[in-house]
Amino acid sequence: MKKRILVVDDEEGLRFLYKEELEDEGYSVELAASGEEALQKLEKDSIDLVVLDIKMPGMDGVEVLRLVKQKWKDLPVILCTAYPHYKHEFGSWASDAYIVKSSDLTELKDTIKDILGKR
Amino acid sequence: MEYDILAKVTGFLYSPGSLGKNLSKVARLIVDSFPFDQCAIYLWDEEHRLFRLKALQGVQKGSVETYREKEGIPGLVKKQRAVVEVHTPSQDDVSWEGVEDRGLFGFRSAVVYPLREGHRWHGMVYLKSSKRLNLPARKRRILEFLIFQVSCVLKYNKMFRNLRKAYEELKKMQAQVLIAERLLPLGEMAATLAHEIKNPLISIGGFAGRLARKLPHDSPYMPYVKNILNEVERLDEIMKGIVSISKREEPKFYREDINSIVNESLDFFNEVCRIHDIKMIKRGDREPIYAMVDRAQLRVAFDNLISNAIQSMEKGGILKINTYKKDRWVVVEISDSGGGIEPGVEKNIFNPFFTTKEDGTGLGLAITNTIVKKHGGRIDLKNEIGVGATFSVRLPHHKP
Ligand SMILES: Nc1ncnc2c1ncn2[C@@H]1O[C@H](COP(=O)(O)OP(=O)(O)OP(=O)(O)O)[C@@H](O)[C@H]1O
Ligand SMILES: [Mg+2]
Repeated sequence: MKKRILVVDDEEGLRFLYKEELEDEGYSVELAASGEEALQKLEKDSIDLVVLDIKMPGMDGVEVLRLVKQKWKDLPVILCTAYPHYKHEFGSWASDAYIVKSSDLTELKDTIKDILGKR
Repeated sequence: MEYDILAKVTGFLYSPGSLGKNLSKVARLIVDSFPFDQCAIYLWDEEHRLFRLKALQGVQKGSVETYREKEGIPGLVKKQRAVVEVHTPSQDDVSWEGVEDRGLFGFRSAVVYPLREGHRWHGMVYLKSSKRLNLPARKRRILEFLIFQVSCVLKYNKMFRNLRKAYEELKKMQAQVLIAERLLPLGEMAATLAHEIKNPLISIGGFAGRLARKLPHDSPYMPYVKNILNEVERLDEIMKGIVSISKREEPKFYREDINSIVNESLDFFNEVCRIHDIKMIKRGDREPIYAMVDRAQLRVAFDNLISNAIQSMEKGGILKINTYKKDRWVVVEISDSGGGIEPGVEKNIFNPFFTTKEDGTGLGLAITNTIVKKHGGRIDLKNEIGVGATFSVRLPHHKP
């Protein structure tokens, strides 16, 4: 069975890119454009891992992370940010991994493989 | 006639034009209107402590360029802080009451007026006559008034110069504030802007990357795609640079061994140096030197300086690193043998976006400077044109 990944990002181009790239890696990919949409999707579908952007209008990534971890304690979440300085603030206290966005998705792919491989 | 003199002198002194020219006109007026054969006006040079000839009218003989503080009749005037009147028995005498003054040669009488205001000296007026002088009291008073006017003008002149100096300094300071102000809003804006730009940039780069992987290797379109990828990477570097000089990224200080950070940075460049035939020499203290720093940021600072040094030595050279303690500072010196920085370039190197390199962002030194300043330190540059540049980073030392 293919692992299902939910990508949450407000940027359409990025959602598209992540979908293409991760599908090439053999995952099935769901998309959400906002925190609210992500929570709805999580209620309906069974998801194996969430890739979550921090900076989004409305509910931001950190808020979403908190709600997700409250409800689905074991669901792995990878936080993504545009620039590394958020790292100090949120650290890795609640997310399973923390990644600085890049047009090279290798780090993200490796991290996903790592986390899902452990399960 | 007397009124004429006074009107004229006021006109001369307060007219625009250089001080030297105006004083010359006054000296001329004195020689023309009083029984003197020579009028010399000297200005007091506080720094070198001597009187310097500024204006000379009348005969040229016996004129002296400078008088030291205690030299000749002017020295006596300086000491007594009052007018001195001299009469010598003959024109060949060059001393009066034990005071020697070669300026007296060729004259029988001389009067030297101090130009001063309390303890503040402006100069003096040296008047000489080849005949024995006998000035009627009325004429003398007019002369004194005239000299008083000169004194006033010199005072205003000095005030004006001080004012101009203060103004120049203020202007310089303002320029510095402007640079700081230019950086601040840039930093404020940067964080927002950078986020807005980063995401589309990832899209562009990401899809170009996909294209690069999907296209056949020998596709004629490959160079287009590669070009997009390169430019995206460059933009990404610039954005990262802007974000890191933005105010939002505050350093987190811990007690760190500066030597170990420098060594990490050197390790990082080891291979590059080998390839470019650059010899790396590490000198200085071996034992840990501590300072309160943000390790990651300081590493960036050293990396920038070392990479600049390496880039300046394309055809090989020597990279010298020296670390030591001095007074309350930890000093890290990074020298190259890359020929130094051109004179016109030097003043700009710390400005953001200033670069002389084809593929430079011009942010390296701006970032480095910001980081070092946030640490309470400073960067000094010793630029030896034709030889090389030495950047020294100073950071406050932290006692173990
Ligand atoms: N060691 C050096 N020797 C000679 N010139 C230097 C040296 N360091 C800096 N410069 C000059 O200062 C300019 C600005 O340096 P800075 O590090 O800010 O930007 P850059 O090196 O041009 O770009 P980047 O750091 O992005 O590669 C350089 O372009 C170069 O002209
Ligand atoms: Mg540089």
